[in-house]
Amino acid sequence: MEDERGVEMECIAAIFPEIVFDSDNPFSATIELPVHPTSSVKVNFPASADGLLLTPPLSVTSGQEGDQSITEPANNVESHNLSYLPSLELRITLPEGYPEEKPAQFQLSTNPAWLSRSYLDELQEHGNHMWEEAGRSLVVYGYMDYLQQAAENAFGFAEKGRTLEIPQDFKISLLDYDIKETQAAFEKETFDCGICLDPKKGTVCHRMIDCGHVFCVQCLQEFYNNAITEGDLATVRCLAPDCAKKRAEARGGKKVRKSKIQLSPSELLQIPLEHEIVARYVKLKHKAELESDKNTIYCPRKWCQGAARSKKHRKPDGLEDTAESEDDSDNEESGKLEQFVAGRDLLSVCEDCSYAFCSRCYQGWHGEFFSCAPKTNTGELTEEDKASLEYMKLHTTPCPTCAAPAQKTHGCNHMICFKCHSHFCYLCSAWLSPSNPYKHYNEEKTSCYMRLWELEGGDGDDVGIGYAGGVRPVEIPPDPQEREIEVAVAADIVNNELRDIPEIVEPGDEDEPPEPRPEIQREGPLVLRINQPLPPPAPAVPDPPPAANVRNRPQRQQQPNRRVNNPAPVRGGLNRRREPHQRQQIRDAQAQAQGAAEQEEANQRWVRMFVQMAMNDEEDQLDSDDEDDAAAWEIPVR
Amino acid sequence: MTQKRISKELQECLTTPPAGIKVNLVDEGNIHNWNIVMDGPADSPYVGGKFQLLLVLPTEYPFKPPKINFKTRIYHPNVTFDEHGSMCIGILKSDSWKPSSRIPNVLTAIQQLLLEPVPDDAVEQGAAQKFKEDRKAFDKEARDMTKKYAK
Repeated sequence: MEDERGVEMECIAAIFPEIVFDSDNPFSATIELPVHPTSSVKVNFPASADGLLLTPPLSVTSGQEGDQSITEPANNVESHNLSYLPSLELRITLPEGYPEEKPAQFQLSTNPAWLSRSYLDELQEHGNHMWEEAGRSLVVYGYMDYLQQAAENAFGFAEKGRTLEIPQDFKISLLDYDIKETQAAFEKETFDCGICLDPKKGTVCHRMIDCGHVFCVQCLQEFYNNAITEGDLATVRCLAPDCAKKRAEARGGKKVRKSKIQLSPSELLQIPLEHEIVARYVKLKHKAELESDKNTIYCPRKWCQGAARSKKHRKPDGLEDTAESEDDSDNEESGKLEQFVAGRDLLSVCEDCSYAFCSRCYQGWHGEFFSCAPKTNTGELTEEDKASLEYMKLHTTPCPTCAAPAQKTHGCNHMICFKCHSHFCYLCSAWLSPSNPYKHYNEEKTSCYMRLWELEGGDGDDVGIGYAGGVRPVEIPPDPQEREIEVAVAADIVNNELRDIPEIVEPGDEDEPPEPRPEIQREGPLVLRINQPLPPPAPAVPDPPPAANVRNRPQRQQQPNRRVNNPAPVRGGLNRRREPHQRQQIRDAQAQAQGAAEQEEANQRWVRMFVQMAMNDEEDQLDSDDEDDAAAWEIPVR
Repeated sequence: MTQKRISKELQECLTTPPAGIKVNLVDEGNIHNWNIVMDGPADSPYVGGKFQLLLVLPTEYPFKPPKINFKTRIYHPNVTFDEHGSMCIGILKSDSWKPSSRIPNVLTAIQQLLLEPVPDDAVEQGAAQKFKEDRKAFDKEARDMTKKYAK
């Protein structure tokens, strides 16, 4: 008769190919059963019973544990959630006479011994029970199946509310095992990277530590390297849409701190990014923190200009995360109160060059009892500084909250400060309500009414190509009572198109020639503001010259004040910039004003001429210093 | 990477476009400019209209957001009523754009905007006011404009 043992072993070997048979006994084998419970197991590592730490102290806490275990043993217990536990080793021996007379011998063990011997004995005993219950028949497969099922909830320890206590000695090897197995499982998986949309093996992917989103390393490197090189720190975060928002919602609407959304330097290194890039990230983050703090004091040494040491924004040492520094601001404050000494808070030490100086007079440190005068700005600027200040004046708008300059590269004029996240208007730097920022462009009373898309192509000589400011046709409010028409005069805009010009035409009456009205105010280069009721119809103004003519006009100097809030229109006179000579004339005219109607007529005539010239792009000639020329343009005063 | 990703998304949008949306290239040789035809969603006053949009994918895509404008005039509080047809929608703001956002997401966000204008975030105040104060008049105006421009 064929040996039943042989048949059973063959079957087992077919089901579990990883089984290892003893070389000298075909009825004896070992197999490792993995312990990967469906939900993670909460594991506590109490200090070893005899107080001896076999493992070297990992941290300060583990060192203290030995001392404190007598008084308060429960306090320092570390708890971890493990998904993988070292596998259960099963040794099967089928003796002569199995299955009819003798039960199979099962021996269980784990390495390290994270399951107690008594519990393993219980499990072994269960094998005999099964053999008895099955009527002394083949039981090996049934028993192995039982063990596997038990492993799925970590032999009951994975159930909610239960914790598995494992001696401290095994902590490192168990944590290590968990990490290795988790990583191995991750590497075996395939992920669709949400950025390149390619399926990628886990080996070339990175799982975000906080949120678990997975992207391929190549895409992450490319994106973060780019963001950090460009200084766009806010985007160094998880790249899944709405990730931060969803996490905030999951936390019950509590707002997550910005620094928590941003990736930590250590995670960037894990991705991995180049060390230099991560160092730059840490440096920039520190710099942004210093710059957003108005109290930051900078080193007076011209070649250094580092920030003074501060407890609040500690200079990063290596690549540590600086985000946690905010927590100790309270301690700092209370500490200050206790030991306040007059003058001591003036001492500043540069974090870069260690120069000790006084934060009031910016001289070398003179001791606490020296009365010094605050330093006044010497006003000495290098050529380079001047040039960049000038550029900033022309092509940036400061944030109304933190004054950080912003330069628009494209898009609408609703800006969000890169530093403090204030919403503001690019044109006039006004603070905008985050809940409804566009209101600013929709209310007729603001100077930015209907100007949301001005400068759509960006601001600056080197930004964008199409400076689209003013291209958008201005809509004219149909209310005849309050005639305030903003006419985009194309004069200062290179490449601007002529189609703005017809906008001068009265609304609703397109056959009429342009109707300029006497009150004029030039608002920067862009806008001609015309107020007051309609005068009687004026003689027709000749057609504007062909568009090509206008496009060819030379670029004129840009006026830096074009975004300044427009002052209220001046009533009863002309206020034109860059025409001092004529302004004088006008003032005279005002002074002698007699017969308002006559003067108005004269004004109208001048305005007509001005607009006509503006259309021909000749109004520059108004600036002419030539007396004769100017005389021709004088407004006759009677 | 940019080219590969764009062609993948294009492939996807060509084979399984979001409902009510047709996609084709403006110029076969350039995968950065997409021509979108969006049907006015049912349950909106834009129903029956076919709206053309131009989607421009920058060379830095997907690291930088795409730009999208209505080429067909549309009477809507959140779209400028002019030849630009500009919109300010959150998903396209560079600080909320994420590289793993996809073009179908952008297109469905616009469809959603047609279904539910956000008058408090309006770029066309007149339309927003009408939307808030006289919904019937707004719907009529939107329908009329749809008939006029979006055939």
